[in-house]
Amino acid sequence: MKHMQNKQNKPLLVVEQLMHSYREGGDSRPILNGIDLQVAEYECIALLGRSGSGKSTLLNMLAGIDTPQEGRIQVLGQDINALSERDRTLLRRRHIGFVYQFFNLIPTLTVAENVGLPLELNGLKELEISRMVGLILSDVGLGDRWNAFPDQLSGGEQQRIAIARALIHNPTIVLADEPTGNLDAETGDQILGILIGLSRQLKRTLIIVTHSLEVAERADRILTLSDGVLSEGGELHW
Amino acid sequence: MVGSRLWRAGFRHQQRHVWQSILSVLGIALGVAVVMAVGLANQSASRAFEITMEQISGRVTHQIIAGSAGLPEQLFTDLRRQYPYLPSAPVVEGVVRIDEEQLTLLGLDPLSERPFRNLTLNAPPRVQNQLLTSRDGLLISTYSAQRLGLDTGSRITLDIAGTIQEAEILALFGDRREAALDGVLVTDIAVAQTLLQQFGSLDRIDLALDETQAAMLRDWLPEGVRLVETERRTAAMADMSQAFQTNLTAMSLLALLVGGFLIYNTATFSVLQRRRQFGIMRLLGATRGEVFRAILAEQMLIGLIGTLVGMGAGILLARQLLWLVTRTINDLYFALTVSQLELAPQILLTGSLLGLLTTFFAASVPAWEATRSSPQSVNRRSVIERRSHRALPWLLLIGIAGMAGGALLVQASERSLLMGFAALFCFIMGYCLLVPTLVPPLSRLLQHPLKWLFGTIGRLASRGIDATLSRTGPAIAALTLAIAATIGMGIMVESFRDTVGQWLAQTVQGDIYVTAPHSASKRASAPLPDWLLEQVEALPGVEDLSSGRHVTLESENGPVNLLAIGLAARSYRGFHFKGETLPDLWERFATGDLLLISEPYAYHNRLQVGDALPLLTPDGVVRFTIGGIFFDYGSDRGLVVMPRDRYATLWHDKQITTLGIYLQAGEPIEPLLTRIKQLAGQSERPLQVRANREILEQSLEIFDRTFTITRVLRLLVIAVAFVGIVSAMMALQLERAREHAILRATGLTPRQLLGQISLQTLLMGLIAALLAMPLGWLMAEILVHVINLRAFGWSMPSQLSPTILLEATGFALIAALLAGLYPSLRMARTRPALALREE
Amino acid sequence: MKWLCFLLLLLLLTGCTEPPAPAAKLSATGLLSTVDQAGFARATAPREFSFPRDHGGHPEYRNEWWYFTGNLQSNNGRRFGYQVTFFRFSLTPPGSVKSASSWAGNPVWMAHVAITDADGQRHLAEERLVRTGPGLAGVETEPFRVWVEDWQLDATGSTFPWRINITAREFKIVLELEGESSVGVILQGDQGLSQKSAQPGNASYYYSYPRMHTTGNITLDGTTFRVQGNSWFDREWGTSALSPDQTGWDWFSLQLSGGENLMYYQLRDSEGEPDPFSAGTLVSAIGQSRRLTPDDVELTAERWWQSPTGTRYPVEWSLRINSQNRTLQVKPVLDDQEMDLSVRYWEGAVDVYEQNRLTGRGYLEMTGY
Repeated sequence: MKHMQNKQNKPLLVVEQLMHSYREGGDSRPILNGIDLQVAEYECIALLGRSGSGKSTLLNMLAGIDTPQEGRIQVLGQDINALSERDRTLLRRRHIGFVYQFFNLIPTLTVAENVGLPLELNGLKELEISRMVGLILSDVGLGDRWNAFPDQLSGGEQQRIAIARALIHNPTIVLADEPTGNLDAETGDQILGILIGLSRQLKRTLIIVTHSLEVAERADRILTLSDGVLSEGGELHW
Repeated sequence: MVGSRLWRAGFRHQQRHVWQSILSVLGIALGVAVVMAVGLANQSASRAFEITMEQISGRVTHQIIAGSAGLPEQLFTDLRRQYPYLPSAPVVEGVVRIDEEQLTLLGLDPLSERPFRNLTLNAPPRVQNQLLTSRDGLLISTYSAQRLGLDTGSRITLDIAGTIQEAEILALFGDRREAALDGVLVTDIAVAQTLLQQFGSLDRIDLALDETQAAMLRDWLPEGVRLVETERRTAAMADMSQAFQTNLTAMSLLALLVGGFLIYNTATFSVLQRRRQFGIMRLLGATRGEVFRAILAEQMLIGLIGTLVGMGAGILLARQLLWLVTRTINDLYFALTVSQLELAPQILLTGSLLGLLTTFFAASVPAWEATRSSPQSVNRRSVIERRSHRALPWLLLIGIAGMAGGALLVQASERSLLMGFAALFCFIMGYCLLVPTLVPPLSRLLQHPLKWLFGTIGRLASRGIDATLSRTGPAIAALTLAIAATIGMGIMVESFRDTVGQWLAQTVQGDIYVTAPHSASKRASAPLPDWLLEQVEALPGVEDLSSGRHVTLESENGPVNLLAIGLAARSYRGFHFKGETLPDLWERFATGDLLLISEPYAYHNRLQVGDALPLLTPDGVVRFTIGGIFFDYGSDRGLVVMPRDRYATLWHDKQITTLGIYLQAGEPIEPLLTRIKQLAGQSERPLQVRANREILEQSLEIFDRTFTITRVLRLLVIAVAFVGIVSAMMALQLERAREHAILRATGLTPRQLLGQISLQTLLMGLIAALLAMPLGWLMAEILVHVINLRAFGWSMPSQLSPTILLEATGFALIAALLAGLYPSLRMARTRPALALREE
Repeated sequence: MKWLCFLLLLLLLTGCTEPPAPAAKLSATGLLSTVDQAGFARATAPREFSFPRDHGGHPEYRNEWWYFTGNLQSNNGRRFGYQVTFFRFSLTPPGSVKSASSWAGNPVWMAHVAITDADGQRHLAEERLVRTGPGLAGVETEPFRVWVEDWQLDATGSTFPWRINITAREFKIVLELEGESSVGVILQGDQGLSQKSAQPGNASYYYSYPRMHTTGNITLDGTTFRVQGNSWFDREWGTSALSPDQTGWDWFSLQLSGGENLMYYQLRDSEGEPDPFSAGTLVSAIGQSRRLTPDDVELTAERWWQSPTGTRYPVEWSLRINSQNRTLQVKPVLDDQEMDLSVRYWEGAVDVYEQNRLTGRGYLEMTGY
């Protein structure tokens, strides 16, 4: 498997004039009101915003799960909304990793199986998968919990598995939605460290969505989403 | 471990939710078992009939047959003298009983048998000699002998139309394992004539001819005698029981349909339980196809296990059903012995395939639905519910289209039984699709009375149903189908029974009847002694007599059951005509001009009032006109009625087989009954003397016996339904563990929780029962007015019996209640906090 | 996968059918051999013969036959031999099975018919085997009639001439026979009682019409030949069987020029040696009969022939009458005159030579080979 080389320093992610509103009853409430964004490689970005500000929606769109009403999203030069559903899925499989607030591990798969799933989807052989799973599990410090099931692990351990799963296939972009939201402060801190550290180590782009300034400040760049618009910096307008 | 992670996740999920999986397996297993059992039983019966016919017919290509009196023996001699080089053999055939079993007695001439059969020729010369010289020697197949515990030299008692005769087993033929000639006794023609008291006549002459020879022979044969092709005659006989067997098959498929619905139900739950997982998988980049296949794989595994279990259970069940099927065929159509269940591979294969296909189709819908869920729904519940509510108009449309399609099929298909079943299927599927659209309004309707009765819990219960329609909808639909099936079948049988009861009461106008018991010969009932009529007439208290002669004749359309009747004044009331009759009916009937035919006969042969009906008399073909069509539920083969005098003139047969005695008004029955019994006792052959009431009771007994098999099937469908209800409710409630935990956490006591759960499941049961009633009624209507009509030719009013409806509702509620027990008990024991943890 | 294999196996197993059973036969000898003698009348003492009554049946005896053989010549010199036999054998004594069925307890009839075509060098034979039933076969005295299905021997009333009418698959025989000739009827054995072995009752009543002038038609290959010649008619009835050491017999009926008629049967034992109960009659042209005893007659088999069925028959004989110092050579018209039917025996037309001159014709029957 090869890393995506961005020799020309082409931006990994380009978002142009993203617009989206939700229909509720009779009104239409604009959630995203002309978002522009450019991400070069190896950046760690924090997307800051209040709950309900639409940051999760934006994240979903970046992943290609949601389709904006207006605007363009380009991943590695490809307009993801011009792709078919299947192609989007394939793109997601290859280039995107997810870390969510609620761990979202598959309860009937072991730790190793959970972590290896992205690789299997990408067509790797079992032997190779085992090797890579071993490597990344030790990276997150859970090399000895291969055959455990998620319900046997603590919250922090589960999130570490999630991180391993998100990074194992060397995705171009890692999207994290409130990764520490369900953890206590200490564990959360730990997790954040692993997430950001590992991403940096593996030279992956990481976009963290959060409502916590503390969390945001650990990133390289902070973008604030407020009133449907993105702005640089960590100024939250409450 | 080999295998995709997606598949492993699914299989392990099934493993962890063992009870759900077991219930799914059980659902499909029961459905497959019923289908297989009926299929195997039917197949065994048909095959046994075929094989026995083959063995009995041997290399016979044509047969000479005549009407009620059989063929005169002289015809055989003349045939041999005229055409000594056409292979011919005389045959005498009758029905005998050993204990409860009906067997065929075949009387052959070993010296003529060489071109046709090996039955008598394989015996050693000593036995052949005994056959030709003994008074009562028989051959029986090794297989039958084993089964009945007989051997060479055993003496057996035969009941031949009420007369008891003894016979000796001279030898056994055939292989121990060959069930081909089970139920056939072979003997010399002389012995057969003696046992059956049929002297001077044969039942048929078997021949092996080619076309030219057949044509030549036809020209030579005298009037009153027919040359028929064996194949066609055997096929006509097989046809007789076809409708009955088709009906059984259809009902078994209904059971499978219910089973399929259960799979759909549990698969839907299972998928819904894991929608988050599937969302994750989609998120991680699993394509829709991959998720679909993963879900399908685990469901097919369940289907496979269920099918295998069903196959095993089906084989066991088949043995029991076989006995019932054989008994019914014996009662209604012809003598058939099947004691060996043939494990026909094509039935096993078809049954298995059906099981797997049903699972496939049932599971593909939720599987497909799962793939529709976009990954974002991982976090959001309300999307699903909104979506399922959005689907409602579509369901309504398709549902109504389905039912309309069913109605069209009924119209378009005229007489086809299969199309009738197809129409039934369309109706059922259409209605079931409608059910989820009817649930919201119904539950809202029930909300207020429930709130009034049970307070908050009541309101929670009913709103909960509506709010989680994606889960309650399919569950209630499945339940509705199952309950409707039992209602439908129940109403059909009840209507039928009521109609038969009423019809019997109307038809049996006389007070006392004398008959000879069911005859040994297949051709004609044994006659009553000549002196009986006069002597009975002379008895004081007797006002009037009616007499009848039952006989089987030949016509263009094959064998016809004829009743030659001498009517008493009151007998006329016994006939209820369908539609118009020809004018001056009874006058013209009395002169012998007209015939009356029964409804099934008219239906099967597409005859109407005023049509011509030619019948074969010993002197040639005579044409009659049909004067009226009357209702007759006595048989599905049909009956033709003509005055006895006319019959006696044309067929030279003055005997009677039934005597109906009408007493004077006010005359008590008992003393006359005794008197007549005494008179009858003087007859050589035992006679049956029964009062009106006895006949009604006995007839209904036979009816009940015949419908035992339908009742059994109904019970099986109920069993499948029960499993379904339990599994559906349990899955639903278990899935709600989190909500229940919240309720507990917010202060609901375990008892109140139990109450809420019970109420909810009861409510669902009630809704299902309410929705099932119209469907059940609709199914009954189709069964009565389409299926029964096309299968048997009977039309009858369908009667809505409140008992059945109450029964079904009660059953649904009890099942629902029981189903709610386990989850609530489990809930009561768990601490709310544990359940609140996210899975 | 395992269950798939099981299913396949199941399919295979049920697909195999058993090979069809070989066609079975009803054997007359088989039937005969099992019939008891009990209940039947036996020929123990000489009796009064009365004709035409005795031409009819004697149902109280177990077996009976009407046996016609003859040498016939067509107008253009074609030589034919014919045989028409009606056998009756009862399986149970009459009246032992009481039943109103016309098929019950009645005798079985077997008819053999054969033609020897000397010019065509062939022999054709056919058999019918039926039971009496509702008139399929039987015998009546008035009018005289013996029939098996459509094969018939009958007369107008009970007098001569008799008519034989046989339509077989490959030939037809329609003949008229005169019974009143110079010879007439001959009672064989001791006034008609022919003892077959030492045991009393092992005998039959036996009479012959050794020379019956015969005219009629024989149809063969579609051609009808007008023929005439002499027939020999044998009648026997009794309830006898061969004793265990008697394997068969050789029976000669010879019609010699000059009007003499000779009948002799030699019973053989298992060694092939003549039995002391062999017997015969020599009838002169004017009807004087003289009994022949085994001392008087010496039979020598001259030539053997093997039939396609594998049986060897001595088809040529020397018959020497010691008392007359005569030797007759008996030679078959055709070697293969074997009757391969329910019962297998050799019955054929023969020529008789005395001192190398053709001196007569006849029939030879050989059984038990």
